[in-house]
Amino acid sequence: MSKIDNYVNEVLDCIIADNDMKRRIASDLTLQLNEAARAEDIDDVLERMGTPKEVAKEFMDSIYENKSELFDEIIAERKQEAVFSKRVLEYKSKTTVMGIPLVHIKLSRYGKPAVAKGIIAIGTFSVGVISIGAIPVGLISIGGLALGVISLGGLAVGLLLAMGGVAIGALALGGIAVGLGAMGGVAVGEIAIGGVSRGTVAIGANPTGQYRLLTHHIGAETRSQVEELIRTAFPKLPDWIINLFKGLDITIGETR
Amino acid sequence: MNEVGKQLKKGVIEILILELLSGEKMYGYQLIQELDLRSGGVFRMKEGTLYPVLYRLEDSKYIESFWEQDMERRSVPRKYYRITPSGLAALQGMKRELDTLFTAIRAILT
Repeated sequence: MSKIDNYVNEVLDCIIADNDMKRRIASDLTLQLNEAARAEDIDDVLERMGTPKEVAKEFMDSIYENKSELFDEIIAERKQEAVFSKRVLEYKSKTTVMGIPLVHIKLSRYGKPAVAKGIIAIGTFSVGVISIGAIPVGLISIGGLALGVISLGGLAVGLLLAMGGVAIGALALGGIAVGLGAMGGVAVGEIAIGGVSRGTVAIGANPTGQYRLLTHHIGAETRSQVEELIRTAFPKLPDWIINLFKGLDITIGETR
Repeated sequence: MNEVGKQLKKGVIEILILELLSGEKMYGYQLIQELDLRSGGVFRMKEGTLYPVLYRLEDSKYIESFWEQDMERRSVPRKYYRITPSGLAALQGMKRELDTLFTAIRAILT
């Protein structure tokens, strides 16, 4: 490596700037030194220029002469750090959809609960299209007490689908499931399938209802019985709903 | 030169560079030499001062750089700078500002 390359590298080592700026400086400084070296001895040139630290300082002084943008960046970073160090951890994406942040994360470390509102919302309380948190509300809600169109959670309430420890929804799946269609350890619904099932149509190990099927396994062997039972109870029920139930392959309770 | 002198020089360096480039294209080393020569050594600029100014002017589209090779005199290409039309317009504006400033300063100092 030449004296010039060494010198330029030492200067760059002392400069705090982005890579583009460093590349720019490296290129121009190398050119400048090569040009100067044509007219005088390179050692004299380098001595006249000063130490790499001094040259780096000159560059830095000049690059950051107008410091307002740099200060803006530092202030923004400091503000973000301050937010993170306080009670609430918050991130809000700059991208918005109809004025709503694409992503909003707001978590309280302690003290009062935080509410996150965004297309994707994550927080103690969260409201969003996709909502995740202790108490999420949204189109798709995932969390402790989930409320939504599609909900997954410890206690899930879903207009369309609910899955969880306790699930309540049009179609509910869970330890305890309550819905028009319910499947679970304890299932209560118009069509209920489970260990303990109670409904107009009740299928399972311990069924209670107007139309009952006592079985410990729903699969290929019971497919026609399940279909017949549901069609008898609900003659106008669309095929796609019936297919949901007759397509199941599950074991209920202990097989004998 | 003391700190006040340095600050005053910084304030006009962009104008001087644009003025030099309004006359002809120049490369970095040449700019340093010309500024030194024409100012009688008052504007003896260091590389660390000149290039960031050139970057700012280039980013503002007041000047543009290009590579040129003089086949008759040397084989190594040089990076030249030339002023752009918007740089010329900016230079006129800066000169007017400088005139106003000098007039005001003279009025106070004399």
